[in-house]
Amino acid sequence: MMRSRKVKIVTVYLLTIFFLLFFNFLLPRLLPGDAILAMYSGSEILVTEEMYSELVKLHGLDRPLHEQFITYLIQLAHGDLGYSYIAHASTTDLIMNALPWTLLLVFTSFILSAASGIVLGVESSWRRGGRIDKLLLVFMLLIDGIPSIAIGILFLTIFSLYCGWFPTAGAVTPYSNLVGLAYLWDMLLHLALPLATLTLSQIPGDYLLIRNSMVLTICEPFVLTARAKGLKKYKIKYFHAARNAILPFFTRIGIRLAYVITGVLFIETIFAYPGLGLLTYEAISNRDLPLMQGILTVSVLLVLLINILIDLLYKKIDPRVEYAY
Amino acid sequence: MHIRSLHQFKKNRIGMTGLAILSFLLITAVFAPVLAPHNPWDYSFNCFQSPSKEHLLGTNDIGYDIFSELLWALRTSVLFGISVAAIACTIGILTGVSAALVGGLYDAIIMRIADALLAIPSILILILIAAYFMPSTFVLIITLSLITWQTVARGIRAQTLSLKTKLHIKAARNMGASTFYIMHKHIIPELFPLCAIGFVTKARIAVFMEAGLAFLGIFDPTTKSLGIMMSYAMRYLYLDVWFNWLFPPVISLSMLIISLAFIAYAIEEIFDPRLKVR
Amino acid sequence: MSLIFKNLNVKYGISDISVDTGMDDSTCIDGDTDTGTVTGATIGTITALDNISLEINKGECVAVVGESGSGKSTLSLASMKLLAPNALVSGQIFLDGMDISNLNDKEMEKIRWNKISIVFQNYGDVLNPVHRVIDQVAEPLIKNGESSSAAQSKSREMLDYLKIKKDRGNLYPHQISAGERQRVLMAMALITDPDILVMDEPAASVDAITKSYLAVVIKQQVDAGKSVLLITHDLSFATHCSDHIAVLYFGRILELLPSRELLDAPRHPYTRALVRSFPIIGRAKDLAGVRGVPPSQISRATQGCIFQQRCTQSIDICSKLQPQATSRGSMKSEDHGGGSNEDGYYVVCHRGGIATMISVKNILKSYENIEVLKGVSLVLEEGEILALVGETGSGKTTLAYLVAGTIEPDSGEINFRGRDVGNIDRKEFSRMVGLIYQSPRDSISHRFTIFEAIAEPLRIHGLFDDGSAKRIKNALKEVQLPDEDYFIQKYPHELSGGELQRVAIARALILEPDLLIADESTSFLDPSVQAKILKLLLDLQNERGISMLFVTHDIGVARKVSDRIAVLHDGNIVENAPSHCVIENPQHPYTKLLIETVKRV
Repeated sequence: MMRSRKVKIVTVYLLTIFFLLFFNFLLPRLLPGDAILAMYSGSEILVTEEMYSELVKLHGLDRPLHEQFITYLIQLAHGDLGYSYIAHASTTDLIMNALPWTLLLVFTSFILSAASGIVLGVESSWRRGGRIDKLLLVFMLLIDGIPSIAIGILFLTIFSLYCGWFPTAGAVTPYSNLVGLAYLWDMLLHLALPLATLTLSQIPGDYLLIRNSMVLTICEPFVLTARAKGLKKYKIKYFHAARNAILPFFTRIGIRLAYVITGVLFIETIFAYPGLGLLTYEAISNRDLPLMQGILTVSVLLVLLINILIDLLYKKIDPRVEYAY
Repeated sequence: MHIRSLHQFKKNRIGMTGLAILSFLLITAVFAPVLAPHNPWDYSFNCFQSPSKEHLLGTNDIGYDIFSELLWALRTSVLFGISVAAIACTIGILTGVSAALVGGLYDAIIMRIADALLAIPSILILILIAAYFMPSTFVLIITLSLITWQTVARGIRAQTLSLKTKLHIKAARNMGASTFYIMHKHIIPELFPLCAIGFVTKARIAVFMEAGLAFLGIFDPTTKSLGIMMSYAMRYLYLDVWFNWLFPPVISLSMLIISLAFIAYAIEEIFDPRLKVR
Repeated sequence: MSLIFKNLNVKYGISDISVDTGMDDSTCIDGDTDTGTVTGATIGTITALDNISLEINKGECVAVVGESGSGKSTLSLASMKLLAPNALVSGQIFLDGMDISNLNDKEMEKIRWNKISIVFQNYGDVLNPVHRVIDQVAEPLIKNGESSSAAQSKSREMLDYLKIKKDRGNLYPHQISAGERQRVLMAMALITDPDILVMDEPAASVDAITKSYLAVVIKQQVDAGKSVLLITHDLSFATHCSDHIAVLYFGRILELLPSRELLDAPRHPYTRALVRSFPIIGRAKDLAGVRGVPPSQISRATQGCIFQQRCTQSIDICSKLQPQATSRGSMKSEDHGGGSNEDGYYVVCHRGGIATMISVKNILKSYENIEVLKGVSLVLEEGEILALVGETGSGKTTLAYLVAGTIEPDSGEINFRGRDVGNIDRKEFSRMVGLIYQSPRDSISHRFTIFEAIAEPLRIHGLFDDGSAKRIKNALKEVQLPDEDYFIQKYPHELSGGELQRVAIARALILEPDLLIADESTSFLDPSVQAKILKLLLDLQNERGISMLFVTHDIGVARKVSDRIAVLHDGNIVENAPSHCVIENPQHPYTKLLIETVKRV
């Protein structure tokens, strides 16, 4: 049984990569007409004869499809995601410059939203039916309904434009030459609103998931056992009940990540935060297809990597998992 | 779903609030052509007018009446939401039920595809496809449906599998009931709440995606869309137009999604009474 | 070191969504919502415990037995203030003399598992699935401030004591067997050495060997001076482990009795019904079940005795007034009026427990100088099946007819419900006693149609009216005969012996008697027909709750049908005891001979 689970997981990873390759490699080649012209049509780049032949050579377009594919794979394996003629830079470099900002944003907001979602969900379900629970639930459903674009726009207009408390764009003040703590403070000021938006848009999901799971866990006999043992309230709540209630939260991290990337895209665009999201927006505006492909590749690989980590970690979190499958 | 579910929904305050907001927005969307005071494609008015009796929300940079634009944009959102939800749910239900009933390799293939699709951020695929094909709204609807059916399929499959082992269905089969009878009397009523939640959730994602894609500038620019309105209003923020131009689409979009979130939660609560706020 | 419940009442508020959940299931706790506050729309209350008073002293084990839904689990949870928030509690609970009724959760934290701990039944995830077994056993010690290593080694010793293999403690709950989990729960309860132990079905999910070891552990703990409250539906486990047994029915204690008397000498009709439903090795009589259906919580009698609808001996007052506890007397004696001794045992019944229907005292009867009965004394209780066994000429038929009032004794007394049979109007008495004879061919006139035969008692008592035809058809259905017109117009000679005996039973029951006397009623039937008739008689007896005097020469048949066997030999009763006792452990040589003969032939 253990093996079939492994097979299942590996199949999913392989399929995901297949879809990725399909969109990146086959889609442009399936286009009617010339792939290169199609890729650059509509953009501001005028494809010269010289550039055309260079591109054909680069992608191996003059060779049969399977050789093109091998070329593509080799490039991918070398971390070469192509060249952006619009930005005049290696796609890999562009992405690698943007990625840390996005990771900072995603990682921090993930920690913040998970922590607050778990605490609020646990406390809310513990007081089920009470005033706090009812208020929190309605409030969270309300926040859950406001799309991240809307939150971002509201925050930007209110806190940056109207109140002027936060910068309106960027990750650091350009050409300021700040160092040390001042630099850090500047960075935090720039990070604050995008982070707040992303965190706020994630909390309701975490909260609702934990609350629902916790409401069911509270009815489990082992919680009664813990209470009978005269344990302190926080021990019953967190060590016994919440410890079990957060299990579905972990299984969903991977799936959630794909949604978070959507949020990041809009939020970075709104706040002009120089991460992958803004890069995507710029790629769209300039019709920079190689860059778009690169971003898709990196995003999917990132999601896969996280998924693999979670799968490995989950066995440690839930001792039943080896037996459950 | 139980017979009492409709009654229970009526008693659910969150659900009824959601339904009230949604009904209001739906009626507005359906009657947009009648309700709109001006033709939203008529740029014969002065630009950047402040709200007035003539133009409830003023006019925009090229002299469109913003209020009329808003009503038509809401229409687009609703149309997009309902279409995607309908198509994605149909695919999800068909694949989910068939995977559970057929099982074996077919089940494995369908479910692995569903799992794999979960790991790919659908917005990036849409962006890529939009960039390559510059598709019409119709193609976007189909594409979005094709990459979001998986959550519905997973839920439906799990439920069908658990139903398959239920004794009352075995009993009906032993009484000689036909597959059609079992589907009709036992399976479909049980799947209904899941389908309802799936529909609302998908509609919600679709509404959000439409606004988002339009906001990013990959949507037919001649169509009225909340996202396009937001994105243009953002460019003229320095003119203090946020109050009459930016906020109306932001609030409309939020109201629409909030109403859907409320309804989805209410159905879930009725479906699983243990979650109920007592 | 005692656990005392005093006038404890528990009601559950029910809201419209939880109506269909049984009350024993409502153990789901809700965090900070204080017990006793019913939130949301409540549409009524369910009474789970009604005025319960019970004492468990130092070094004593009291078992509480009863059907599911009787409130057993509520009692165990109440003892630690662990009831669901929709529970409304009144009355007092004393732990070592301290009233815990008004303590808050914070104060209870100190008491729980230090003064009192509980062994839950091993169902679902009663142990936390994500923590190691040993950590969960050690947890209460660590909470009390012991170091982790000390707590671990103590826990290991405790697991050893419960015969759990050394390495098992490091596993997770799902990795050990159900029997081991139950013992882990026991180890967990014992780890802080509390004075009081509550056990809620500790042996419900374990095999016989684990069960017997758990019984040993319980005994050791009681001997060490602990007070143990044992909640169980397993009567033999209860008798084995406990000193006293309280019988709980729908939230009320109906009887408190010494454990050794539960199986052989129950005093409350409900206790007897429970015992009859419980499989004991050695008893051959079929399991009977408690007659009728338990009252639903909504239609629960608000006045009168809670068991009244299902009781075999209810009288007018039973439906009007709540009965009070009366002393049950030490051992069952002929005088059931209730003794004066103060042992604390009681039975809650208007009639002082299972009442005597017929008592026969020192009967002498002779036919033409031949002494048939030489001073026979016998008691027949309400709702009881008594088999009167003896060889031909032993006087058993004479005794049966004496009881039926058709012949009179030379001397001695026969009392029916406290009245001398001689003073009861013949006709009135005969309505209360139905007779089934040895030979149906002789006992039914060959000139009567089936209809007329069954109608005869009605006509005799002037009760034949327009509704009688329907009543007769119902009676036929009850004895599993066709009720169509063609059949009721048949004559006895058209029927087989078995069919005719069924007609005789229908006739005996048509007046709804309180006592049924069957005199060798099956002895001339084929074994297969006999089996069916016996089963029919038992079912009817159980469903109607009537008493039965079953006269037979065959101790094998007696063993299958009766609660008690009286052996008549040479005009004297030589043996009179519960059936399984007579069969397993006969006292009189004649009884031994009878059993030997049956075994040999």
